[in-house]
Amino acid sequence: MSQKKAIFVKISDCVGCLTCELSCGASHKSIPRLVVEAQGLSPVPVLCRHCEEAPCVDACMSGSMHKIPEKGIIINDEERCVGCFMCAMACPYGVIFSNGEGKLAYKCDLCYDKEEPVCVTSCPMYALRYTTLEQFEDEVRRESVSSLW
Amino acid sequence: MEKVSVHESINRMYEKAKKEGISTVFDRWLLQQPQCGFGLQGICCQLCSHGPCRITKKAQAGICGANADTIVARNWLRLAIHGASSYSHHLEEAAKTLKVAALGNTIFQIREEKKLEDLATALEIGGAHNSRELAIKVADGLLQEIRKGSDEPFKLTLHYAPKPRIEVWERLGILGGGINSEIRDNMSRVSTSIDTDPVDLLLKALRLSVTANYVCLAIETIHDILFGSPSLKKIEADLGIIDPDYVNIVAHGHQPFMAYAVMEVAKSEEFEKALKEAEAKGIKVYGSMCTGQELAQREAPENVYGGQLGNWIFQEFWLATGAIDAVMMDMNCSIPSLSSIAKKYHTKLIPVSSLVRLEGADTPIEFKPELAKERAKEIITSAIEAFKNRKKNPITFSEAKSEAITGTGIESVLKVLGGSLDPLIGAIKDGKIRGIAAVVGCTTTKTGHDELTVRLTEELISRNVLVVNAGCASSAVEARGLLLPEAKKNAGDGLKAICEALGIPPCLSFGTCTDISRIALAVTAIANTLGADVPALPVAASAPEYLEQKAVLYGTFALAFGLFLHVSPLPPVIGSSLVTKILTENVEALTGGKVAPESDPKKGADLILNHIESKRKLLGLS
Repeated sequence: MSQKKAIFVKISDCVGCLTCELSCGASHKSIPRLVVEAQGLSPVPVLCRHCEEAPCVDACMSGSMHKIPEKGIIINDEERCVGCFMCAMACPYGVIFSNGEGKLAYKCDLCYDKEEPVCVTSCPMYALRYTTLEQFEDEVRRESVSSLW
Repeated sequence: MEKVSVHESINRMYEKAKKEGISTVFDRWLLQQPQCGFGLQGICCQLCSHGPCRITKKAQAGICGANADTIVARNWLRLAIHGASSYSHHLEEAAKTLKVAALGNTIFQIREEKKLEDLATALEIGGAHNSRELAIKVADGLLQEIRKGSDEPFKLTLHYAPKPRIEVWERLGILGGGINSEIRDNMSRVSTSIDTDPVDLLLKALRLSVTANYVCLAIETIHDILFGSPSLKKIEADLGIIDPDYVNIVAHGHQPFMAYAVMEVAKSEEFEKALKEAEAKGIKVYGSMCTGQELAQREAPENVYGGQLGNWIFQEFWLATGAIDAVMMDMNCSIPSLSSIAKKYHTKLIPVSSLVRLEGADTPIEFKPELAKERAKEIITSAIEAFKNRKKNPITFSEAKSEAITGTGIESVLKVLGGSLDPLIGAIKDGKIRGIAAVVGCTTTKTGHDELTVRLTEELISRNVLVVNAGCASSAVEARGLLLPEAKKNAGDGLKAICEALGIPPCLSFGTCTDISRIALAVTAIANTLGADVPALPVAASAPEYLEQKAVLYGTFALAFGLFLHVSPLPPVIGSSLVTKILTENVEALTGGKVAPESDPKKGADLILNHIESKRKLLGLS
């Protein structure tokens, strides 16, 4: 668990340029798998957390939504997916998308075939970090104490 | 009911539009969230094919090496150039119309000889035998001034600006020349790698704004010569003025030539038969935006003029009532979404300016002074035809309207004051009025339609600041009922007493955004009377809902003129700490002006009052 990398969001660093959505869409059949929402005038990137106990996996009746434990990711097997979107109803973050025809569920695959997810690579503000929880928390702590004196 | 605007009428129409599946600015604003932070900060450059470049932690310069300061200042000057070119176009149209009027070839006549003589003096023109001859010389003189080099000072600036200002502008090298040459020079400057010095770019924006202000003054003076000087009158405002029994024509934009021609033609009995056949009671011409403010400030035929509909954000909503038969779209601010709304109804969208084009609009009927009468008839005929196709029972809210006193100008103010500025200056000196704030500019979706303009204005008058308005801000206060003597109930005791003594409202509308030049002229008169330069006066400017490029230009002029300028939303300069610091601090040492951004009406009023009180203290006023 401690070595598992995930995408962490530094919300305050996001400027809402939507480059992450564009690059994700460009490498994922034109359907971005994350969304930069707006809370008031502030941008908030929302993306799959690849949950340890994933409601989308539990809800999937065809068994297409599944976990790859060794990689720590949840992906959808598009061959087996029947497009019922039980996963979308179960997901608390609203980050399961339709392929456009409503027959297939698309979601973040953490760019498992690449060294780093493309959204992270393309973010000009480093607002998205692909790192371990320990490293991320370490950085946040350092930042928080650095503002003391 | 969802609240998107300070005006009840807009909130109600928004509900109606939503039910009918009409997309409006408010819906599209939501769909645009979040908006890109690079654009918001002004640190995106798209000038060349190396780019687009933007400034990030990783990349502190674009590919050419331009840093945030250069990109921000250059983008700012580019916006100001847009504003200046629109005003230059407007003056050229006005001067040409004046000339044709002098030759007796149009529906308009020379009505204000004194103003013509005033312009002639400014242009150093003499030797005319009669007013027609003088008008031709003045028109030619202005066209020459527009086109002359940037190396010769603009004559109108020299004539109308306060002398101490001219000295400051000369010292800083920002006493601009001919407007078209200034525009050309600056367009060249902001090309890739020509002028990349952020400080110089900002100075050039100041310089451009100085000439542009006096271009605007010439525009308004010509309007006065042709259509009459502003005179106080009571108008009705807001969506409730639309009368479904009439053939309804909206005059929308900034250049009122076609609007005046249509009113002139419509007031006659020429169309009586056609109107009877169409079962219409008559023809009404309603004002919208700044063209509307032009109609609101002068005499207009009572049987035709219908009042002021509103400002920029109102346009989709009066169209969506289904009770408008024709829209005369002149320069500028006819938004692209109008055609999809007009399609749902029967409304003719008629471009009347050679520059305005809109996909889905009707065939343009362009204003040409020589053909003003014929083209006005064409528009009226087209509107009557459209009226026949109108669906019965369009939505109107006869109760959603208010009254407003309009027509504030230098002469009409002097008339109220008994011929001199002394009563006003006396009230400022003895502290009944703490100062004057010009709340001007546009309207925005960012802080709620007219929300900040109205709240700030109400806050200022409650603290004894006399407010003057211009541009879309005028429509906001008109619809709110703040331009009425009764609005004094919201004013502080001192201002209330002055309103009672002089019979004036606590807010005075000078009219259009172009009329900001007349506010500057009024400030000049106060400065001259007191023997002080502009920055010493207890006055301030505010653009609480600035929107587009003309506003950028006029905001820049406020700085050149030496005014404290409150502004909202945040301008796209914050990506450069240097430019932000110059605009909010350093420029004060040069011109006396500075920018103070604030999006809360109370805090904005605090800033303005702090400034006014500090100036009072320096003048030795309690």
